[in-house]
Amino acid sequence: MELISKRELLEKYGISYGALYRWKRMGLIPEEWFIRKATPAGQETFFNRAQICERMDEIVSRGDASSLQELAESLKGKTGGTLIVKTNYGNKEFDLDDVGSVTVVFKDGRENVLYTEDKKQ
Amino acid sequence: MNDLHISGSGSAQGGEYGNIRVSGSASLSGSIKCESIHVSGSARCDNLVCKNDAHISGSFRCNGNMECGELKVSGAAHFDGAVKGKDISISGAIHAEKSVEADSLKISGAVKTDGLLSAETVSIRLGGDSSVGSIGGSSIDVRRPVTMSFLRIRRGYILKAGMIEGDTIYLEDTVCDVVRGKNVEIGSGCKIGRVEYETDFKADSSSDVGVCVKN
Repeated sequence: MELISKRELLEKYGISYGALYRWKRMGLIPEEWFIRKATPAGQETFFNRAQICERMDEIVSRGDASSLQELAESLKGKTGGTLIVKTNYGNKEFDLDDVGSVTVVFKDGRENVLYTEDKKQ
Repeated sequence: MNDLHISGSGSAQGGEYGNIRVSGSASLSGSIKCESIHVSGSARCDNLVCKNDAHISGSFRCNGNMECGELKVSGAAHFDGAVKGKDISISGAIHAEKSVEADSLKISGAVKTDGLLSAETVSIRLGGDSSVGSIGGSSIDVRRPVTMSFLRIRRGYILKAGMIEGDTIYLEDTVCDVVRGKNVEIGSGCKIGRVEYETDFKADSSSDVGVCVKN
């Protein structure tokens, strides 16, 4: 695996420390990608070159903040939908990202799974 | 969504709430999602997601992760998990086992964490001995609190850090292994192992800087 140091990465794309940390906070660069190593010059951070460069190209090509937000949400696998349960006494709404699964259980024990998180139906 | 009010002492289970207000002491178990939470007194919780503001006066402990809009703590806060927020301001003491991430992070008091403090602007006024794993952001500012010089009788506090990286950095009373940035200014009372800078570097004569490299 070929590594690239953080400083080299910043130079290559002409970005600042602030931007890199901002993208990390947004979830665009996962924590696990940061490889910390002790070097003679103190602690340095490295990345897998192929992995980080692909992501960087994508981030840099997006540019503005709102489309980066979209990218971050798609990386997290968020749907951003709503589950609405209509009852005789009013509606109840849930954020779809918080819902694990929806199951209807009948009196005789039959179960009908209407939605699961990974199916995203 | 239902509001939750606890006056005196009480406990509640996890779930979704509107506004949570605690005067006294409360123990909230399980994962909680709420619009806002105000605590005067003491509260402990597991995982907490707060859409808007979380105001804590007193003591607060979160055993899991916390996510919020604005977080204001006056008093003491202890986080066992990661903390994420837009605007975090803390006066008092904060102890975080993992990272603290925000758009703007303001601390006056003491901070202790092994993880990363990361924010667009990090501003720390040292009001107690502090130690952090690393600090990363765009603008980082660490200063001793303002006191009138003839009243300064107590000893100064120190921030210990492994690594500080940012675009604009100003440090006072900081002991740090590596500082990396574009514009780095080292104020008085610092002991820095290594500084790597791009454009500007200034150091107070009373500070001790080991190696200084221009990239």
